[in-house]
Amino acid sequence: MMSLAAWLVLLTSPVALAMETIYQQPLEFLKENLSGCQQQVLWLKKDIKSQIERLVDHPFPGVRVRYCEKDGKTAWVLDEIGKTEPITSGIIVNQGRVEQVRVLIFRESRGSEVHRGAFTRQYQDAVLESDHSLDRYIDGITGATMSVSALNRQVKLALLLDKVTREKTNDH
Amino acid sequence: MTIDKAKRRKAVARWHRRFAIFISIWLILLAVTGLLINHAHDWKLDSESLAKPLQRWVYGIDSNEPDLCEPLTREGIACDQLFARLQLPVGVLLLGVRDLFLLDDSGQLVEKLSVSQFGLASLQAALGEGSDIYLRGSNKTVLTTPDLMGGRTLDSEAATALNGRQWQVAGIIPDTITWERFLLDLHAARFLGPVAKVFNDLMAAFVLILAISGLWLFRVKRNAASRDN
Repeated sequence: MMSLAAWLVLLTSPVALAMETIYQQPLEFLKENLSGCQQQVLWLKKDIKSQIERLVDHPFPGVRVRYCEKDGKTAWVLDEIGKTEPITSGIIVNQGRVEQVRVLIFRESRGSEVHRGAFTRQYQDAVLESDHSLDRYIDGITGATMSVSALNRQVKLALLLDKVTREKTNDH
Repeated sequence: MTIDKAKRRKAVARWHRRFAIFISIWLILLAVTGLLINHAHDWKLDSESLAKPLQRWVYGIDSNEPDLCEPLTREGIACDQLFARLQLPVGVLLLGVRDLFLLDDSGQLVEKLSVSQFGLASLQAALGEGSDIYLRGSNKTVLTTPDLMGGRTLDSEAATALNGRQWQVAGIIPDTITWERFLLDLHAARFLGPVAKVFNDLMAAFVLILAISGLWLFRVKRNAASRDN
């Protein structure tokens, strides 16, 4: 009886009714773009964490990030708040260059246009400069400014994390 | 103005003042709580738990549960979707509807992980048995390890076999009261119990009396002033 009540509460909870568009499940994204990749974790030292926090301009939770790696390519599934809700994106990086960006789950009420291929294609081959900016200008979308900023941060973060993993591999 | 009229005006003015003083306390409380409720999400009052002594004093809830939010608020993370914790062989796993939070033995946040990484749209229940962690979404159950590396989707038969176990289910909120809940109760005077309804009706009537008597006094005063001129 208790568990039935619990399931009923769950089904009617606001969380269950929250607006959420799943364009692609993260696991499917990895399967499609980096099939057979090895899941790894990257432990973040204090200096890396502070670099990340400077880049994303907010505290970064935890001391490790997971990613998937295959043939020198890394895949990152990252969350970043657009306005109030996290946007989940999948980013494939090949030797410091963005190969693929896809918005996987969009939870905001506005700005979902960032999932369109015409927008995400702008990131193709993007590189992170030494000042942690992208090597190119990304055209914004009217009415989706915060989502565009969130995506920019995610791409920069993926590039930075990829750089850290490559530096670690080279050290070994 | 006749003496009768002047006496009546004075009496109304006196009662108007008394009502105003009495009502002003309630109005200030209403305005302050209303303002805070209006910005509850922006100011994280909807996720911040009420201080334990206040919770005990006001609601009589004496929760022995460890504070789930504490390790997250330390990291500046809102924990509004947190519903339970699982003790792991090493560390603790905090369960949120959308995210999982892996803590080490010292309570330090090791990793925040979206449940979508396990192919779940949202986490509806979780079960920890030894070194097996089961995460259940709306349409599948995933088996993972305490370090949350990788996950295997269980077939429906294996998932059904786990139904009778002690799942931690989302939607059953732990015994914590948020500041927003407290403010809402204060705003609606729910602390007065069944009397709250009558109290609110009475206050509404007082506001009406105040408005009407104020208008009446204003009109009488204006008429007297125009007559004097």
